[in-house]
Amino acid sequence: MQTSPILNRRTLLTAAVTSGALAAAPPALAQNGRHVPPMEGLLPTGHRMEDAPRPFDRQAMAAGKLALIPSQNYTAFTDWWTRRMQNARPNIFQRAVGHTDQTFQSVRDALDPRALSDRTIETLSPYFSEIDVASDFVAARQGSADFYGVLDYWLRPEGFWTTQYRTRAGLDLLDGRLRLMLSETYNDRVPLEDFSAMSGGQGGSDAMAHTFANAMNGALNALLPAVTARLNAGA
Amino acid sequence: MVCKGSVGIALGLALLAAGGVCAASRSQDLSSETRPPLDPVALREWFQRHEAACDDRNSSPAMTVQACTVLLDPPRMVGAPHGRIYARRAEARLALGDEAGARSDLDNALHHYRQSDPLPGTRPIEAPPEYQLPTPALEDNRRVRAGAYCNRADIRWRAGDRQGAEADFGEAEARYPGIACARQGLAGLARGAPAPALAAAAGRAQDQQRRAAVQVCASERMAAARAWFGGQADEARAAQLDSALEPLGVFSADLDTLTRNRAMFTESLAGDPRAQASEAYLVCLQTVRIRQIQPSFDFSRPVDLDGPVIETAELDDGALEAAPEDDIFANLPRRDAGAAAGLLSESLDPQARQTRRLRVAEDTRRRHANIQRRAENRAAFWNTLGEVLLVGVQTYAAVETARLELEAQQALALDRQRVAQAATPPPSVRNASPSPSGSMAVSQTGPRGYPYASNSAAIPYGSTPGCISFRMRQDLLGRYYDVVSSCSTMVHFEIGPPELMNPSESENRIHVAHGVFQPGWQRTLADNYFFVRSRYSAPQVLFACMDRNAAEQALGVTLRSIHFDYEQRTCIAVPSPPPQRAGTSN
Repeated sequence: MQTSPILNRRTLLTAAVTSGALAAAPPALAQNGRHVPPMEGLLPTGHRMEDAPRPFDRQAMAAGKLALIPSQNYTAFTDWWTRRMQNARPNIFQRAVGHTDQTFQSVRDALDPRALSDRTIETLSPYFSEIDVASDFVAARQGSADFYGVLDYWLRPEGFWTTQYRTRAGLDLLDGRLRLMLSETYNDRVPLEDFSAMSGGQGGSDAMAHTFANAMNGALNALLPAVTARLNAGA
Repeated sequence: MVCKGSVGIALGLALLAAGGVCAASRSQDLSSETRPPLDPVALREWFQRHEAACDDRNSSPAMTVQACTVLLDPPRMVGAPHGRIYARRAEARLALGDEAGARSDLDNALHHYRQSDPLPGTRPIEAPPEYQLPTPALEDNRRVRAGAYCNRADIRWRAGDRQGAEADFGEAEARYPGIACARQGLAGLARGAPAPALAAAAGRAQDQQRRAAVQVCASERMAAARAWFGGQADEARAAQLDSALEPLGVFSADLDTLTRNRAMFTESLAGDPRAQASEAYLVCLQTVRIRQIQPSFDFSRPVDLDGPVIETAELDDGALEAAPEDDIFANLPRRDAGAAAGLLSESLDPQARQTRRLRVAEDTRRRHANIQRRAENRAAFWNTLGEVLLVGVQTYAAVETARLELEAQQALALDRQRVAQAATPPPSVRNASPSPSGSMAVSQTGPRGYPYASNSAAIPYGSTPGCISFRMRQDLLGRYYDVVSSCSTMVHFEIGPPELMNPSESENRIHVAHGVFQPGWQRTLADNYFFVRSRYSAPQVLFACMDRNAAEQALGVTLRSIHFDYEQRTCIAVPSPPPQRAGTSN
């Protein structure tokens, strides 16, 4: 639901006062607000990726091992989440405006990168015999991977008043010779959920958690069916 | 050169040495020592430990990077030989394949070299610092500095910057004339040779071959480990055995060395069971290594045992095998995925996924319930507030209606009274009740609560101008903030009902409401207040009395004074005392 800018401005002003969850640095700070290409840091600069032959070798996939590799954006996001969110507890001021461990946990869970990887792995599991995780392509190859998947996720507040959040997500699958099998991306803006000024910190936290969950669910609901369709089609 | 009989002793010594090295390596594990101690002596030791770990060519590149990074941390870098540490970390990063990080470190290192040790006849680009840093504990030697230039030249060469590479090779040659890397690099550039492969790629290729050999000889490896360590043999002990065997040239890339060593160890299979197990493992390893280098090698060929049997030196750069041309993974950048890899790994466990899914579903359900509950509370609040407001409005309407009815009745009564009084002769002063001070209070509370003269109907206001003087003070912002009413200055103005007044300006600072007095407005006049409005303030109420002549004429008496009493909001007319009769007596 798209809300009016004035309403959102009011909401944000209220949120700045009542919602201590906003005191945490936004994820954009973790990567300087910049979305980098998912392959940055994984492939040499200027590397041109070839397309894998179509259709995909289903038997090789079914017998092969897929290594999931986090993109630079995903790495920055998880680093930020681990550092700033995972063990966050409300301080005395945040408790004074109604925050509790429970309200913090809502925001924390809504931003949990594992929600993304859980569903991604569940989606990809039927197509490969084994799924593993690696930090880069070389490590993945040393782990005897036959296919490589680069998982991307990025979230950034949009606008001075943070009226919405911009989300980017993506999944690239590569074969053993680093040829691109498929690449699906998602790019959208998620409006900040409105909430009442009288609902205090709990309302603010719920609104933020709702917004972040909407962002991640939107990305997954758009991305994973597209990947599944491509894998089913074999091209 | 070592004779055959001393192989077991050499192996034992090597193992002991390896144990020592391992113990030393354990003591050099600085991963938990990132925070320097406060004690100065301990701080010095801490610094020396890290410096030694950064300089240690035998430690792993990752550990070298860690130790050098701690030394380069800005708050602790005073006194550190920056250039050398940067150059050392660059070497370790190159070994790890992190070419971008190595390039950055080399830029820093060479910047320090240019500043602290400019070439003769040249000046540093930047001005020298005004203060003197402490002398570095360890001086860099010229060869190390020239090597750093060579390393950066290689990186530039690989990036296609041949001109920059040539400049760096030239700088290396100038700093250490005759250094091999600069000479070879300049020659390669001159003949248009391709850039040398990243050393890490060659190292990785060698590592792969080494791992493959160890895997093939896994059973001999564990047998040797059990022979040496008994029941304590495990993977760590086996790795310790590998470290001990490495100086014996087991993993050499030189086919002749491998062949001679294999022949020697094959012949000496006897004696001490520990040496026997170790030698079996050595033979296996060397067989695999020889096949890796030359798959068609004929092991039945006689071997000349003259010459160096055991190669104790590490592999030199020239012996490193280049990565295969078509290996697309050879030059891929390496990186540390930080927490991302760990979190991704947690998703591999289906049980953990299920637990998380249930928890998130519960949290979502609770969140929705909270939102629903708050919405209901909000709706209930507004409903209650609306009901209260409705009752208030109804009450106000009823009270106001009653008041208006009362006013209408009072106005009707006043009109009747006025008509009745108009038919009677004017009242005399004696109708007014004299006060103890002798003055007459001619006041009555009007409908709006303001006082007005009780005998207003008898005073011919229509022909008499009001008498009042007032000043309005203006503050610095141009707002009128006060009204002072006094009778010191007489200003003529006309009065009228508030609703017909038009604000105008006679002076910049005086705003008077003008109107035309008419007989029908007597009641307003009798209320004794005027409305004065200005552009900057709300209408204000002024009180005034009739002038003295008009009052005397109306009352038919001689007044000593007439003034407005602000506290009583009443016009006070003070009659003159009656004239004393001359000669009156009892």
